[in-house]
Amino acid sequence: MESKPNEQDGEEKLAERHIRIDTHGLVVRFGPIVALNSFSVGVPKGIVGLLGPNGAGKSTFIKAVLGLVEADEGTIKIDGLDPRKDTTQVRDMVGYLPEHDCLINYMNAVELVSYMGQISGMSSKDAIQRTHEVLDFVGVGEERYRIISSYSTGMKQKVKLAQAIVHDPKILFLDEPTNGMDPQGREEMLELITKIGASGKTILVSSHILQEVEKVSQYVIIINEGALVKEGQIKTLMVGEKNVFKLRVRGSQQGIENFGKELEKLFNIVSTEDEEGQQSLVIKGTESGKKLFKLASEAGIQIREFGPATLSLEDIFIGAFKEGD
Amino acid sequence: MGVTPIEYRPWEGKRTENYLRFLVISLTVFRQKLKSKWVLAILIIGFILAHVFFIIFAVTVPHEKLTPEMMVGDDPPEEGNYDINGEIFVEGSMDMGGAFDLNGSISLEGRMDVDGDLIGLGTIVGDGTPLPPLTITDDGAVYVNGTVIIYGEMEIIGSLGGTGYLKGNCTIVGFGRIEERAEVGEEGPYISERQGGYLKNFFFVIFTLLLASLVCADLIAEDLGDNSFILFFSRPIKPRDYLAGKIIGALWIMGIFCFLPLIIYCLAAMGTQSGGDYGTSLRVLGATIGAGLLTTFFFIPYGILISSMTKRKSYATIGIFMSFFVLIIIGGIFQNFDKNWALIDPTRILFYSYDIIYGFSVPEGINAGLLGAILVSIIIIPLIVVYIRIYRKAVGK
Ligand SMILES: Nc1ncnc2c1ncn2[C@@H]1O[C@H](COP(=O)(O)OP(=O)(O)O)[C@@H](O)[C@H]1O
Ligand SMILES: [Mg+2]
Repeated sequence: MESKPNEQDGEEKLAERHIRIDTHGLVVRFGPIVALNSFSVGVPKGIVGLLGPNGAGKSTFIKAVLGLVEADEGTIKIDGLDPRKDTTQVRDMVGYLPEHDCLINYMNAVELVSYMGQISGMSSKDAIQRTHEVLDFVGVGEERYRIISSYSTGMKQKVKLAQAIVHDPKILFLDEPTNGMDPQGREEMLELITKIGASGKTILVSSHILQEVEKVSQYVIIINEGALVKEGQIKTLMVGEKNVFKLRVRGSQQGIENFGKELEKLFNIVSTEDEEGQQSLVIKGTESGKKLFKLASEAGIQIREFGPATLSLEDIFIGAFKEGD
Repeated sequence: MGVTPIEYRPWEGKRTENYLRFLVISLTVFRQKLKSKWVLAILIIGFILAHVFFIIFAVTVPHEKLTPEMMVGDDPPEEGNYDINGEIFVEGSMDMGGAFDLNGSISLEGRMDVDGDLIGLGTIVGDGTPLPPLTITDDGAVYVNGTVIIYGEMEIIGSLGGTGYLKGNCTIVGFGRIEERAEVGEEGPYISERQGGYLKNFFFVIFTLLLASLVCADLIAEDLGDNSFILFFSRPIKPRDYLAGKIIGALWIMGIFCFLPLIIYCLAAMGTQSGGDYGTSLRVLGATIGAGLLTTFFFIPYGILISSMTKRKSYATIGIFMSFFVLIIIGGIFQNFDKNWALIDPTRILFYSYDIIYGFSVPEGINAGLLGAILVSIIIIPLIVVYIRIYRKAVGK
């Protein structure tokens, strides 16, 4: 298989080269478990968050895209290449930070990172020089000469990042990069990711922690139970959709129930949430608000709050998982 | 320590050729192995015990040329040679099919038949007549105080007892009192092999085995244990390259012990030979290259197979070594039923292969075709199994 010469095309050309990852109808099963269920998504350039609770299928998605897990159905294209058929070409341009421990414990960081660089096609001289550069970048100091089994989790994560970027891949897959790190370490890791992102790479960062994704990425893909829940620019997602309203009513149980029945005729009820003597609703429809107030007074209940729904990522996140249930 | 103020810098170097990258793995394996204290210890001790003395002999003992016998040993002794260094006490009857050396004494109250020469410094005491052939008429027991080594056959009609050693081709191997009526069949299952020879020295086999166990143990077990598998296979490397890289790295280490010294031995022997027959010497050197490569490679596939089955390096080491041992023992026991069972013993497979490489025939009763088939399968089958295991790991199913 031929390896492409890695000559940089200059700034503008780099910006032009949108490396996209597209999957269509991706299905991955592990025995009876369906880890990915007809997953279709397009991952654009830039830093992209892959958000979902544990067991959602994030790691499986990344592995499938890398060709590390065989898809039972569906297609995957990375920059037009199939990771199963054009494995070598695809892997020449990706870097991967796996979720779990994966470092060779008996080596030190310099040995490991340069070893990995060489397997990715660097000469040993280049690899060693670059290894020191990336270890400096991720902030592994003199410890780099110590055996990896003696490292703290935070250090290991940094070395994992270093081995993922040593060969300067065009696409980076970071699977829960802050896994097991303390708050300060998390901050540092997120900052490093932001810096790498500034160099015009496609970076897919998976996480089950919303705040982290919000910090580093402009684009988010939300996944739950192996299915795509929502994807889009974070800004757009946060604005909410048109004709979606948030409503809080107060009154007797019977009154709220009657109100609900009438409301259903005019609006699409997206979600309801009962509290004591109170109900919060998200509704969708084009009817005017006046009708609402009329219905409320007929049912003998009060409207405490009414307005267009501006969802935070958190709302989307929570809402998404409700839909998934 | 906060985040360094360093910005991310791209790398703009040139990539190496894809098909050569497995050598990176080989080189790393080789370096890591040579750093291991255990590997170094085995190499050094093994070198002294298995090679240094032989090389010194090759230089100092006068020889006309380098002969295949120096490598794989002399012709086996004629059948029916006995060595008695202790005392045999026969109350019953004892039939011996050949000559024996007697350095101890034989006490006879029974009958003993010897169909060959009886040579030695020992004595025979008893009611029977101490003449070759020897015939003791009364039934009685065989009593052993010293060591009896029997290469031929031994027929005991009475009982066998004693406090010495009785060694031989029959199932009666041991010491102490054996009070059992035993009968040994007509054709003894003892395999008469070539005796001695540099390549067949005990230390060479045992240290090759030890080294192979150590070298192979963590080749794959460690990557499984660390989960570092995933680092390799998310990179542009195929399972085939990974396996080749690991095996070649291991071969370099094995070659230090199993190949280089043999060549040194041959060259040393040729450099000091008194005669002018360099043709024979060169042929032996050629055969030695073959034998050395075979030994270097022989244990690796099997060792890697065991290594791929466990995540623990220590289990793998012990597993490899012990399973070889078990095979040696099973081979030793079952060859009494059929000589070809000896071929389950990997050291025998190697030895008989050497015999063929040096132009001799395999011992009588051993099926050369079967030897070839086993040799090929002990190398090929583990390789295929390991390849499939790694491939499946690499694709995550
Ligand atoms: N190798 C595997 N064997 C069996 N089940 C698996 C395997 N890998 C993942 N799964 C299952 O697939 C689902 C998705 O897992 P994963 O992709 O790891 O989720 P996430 O990374 O979002 O936490 C889970 O139910 C998990 O138990
Ligand atoms: Mg995961």
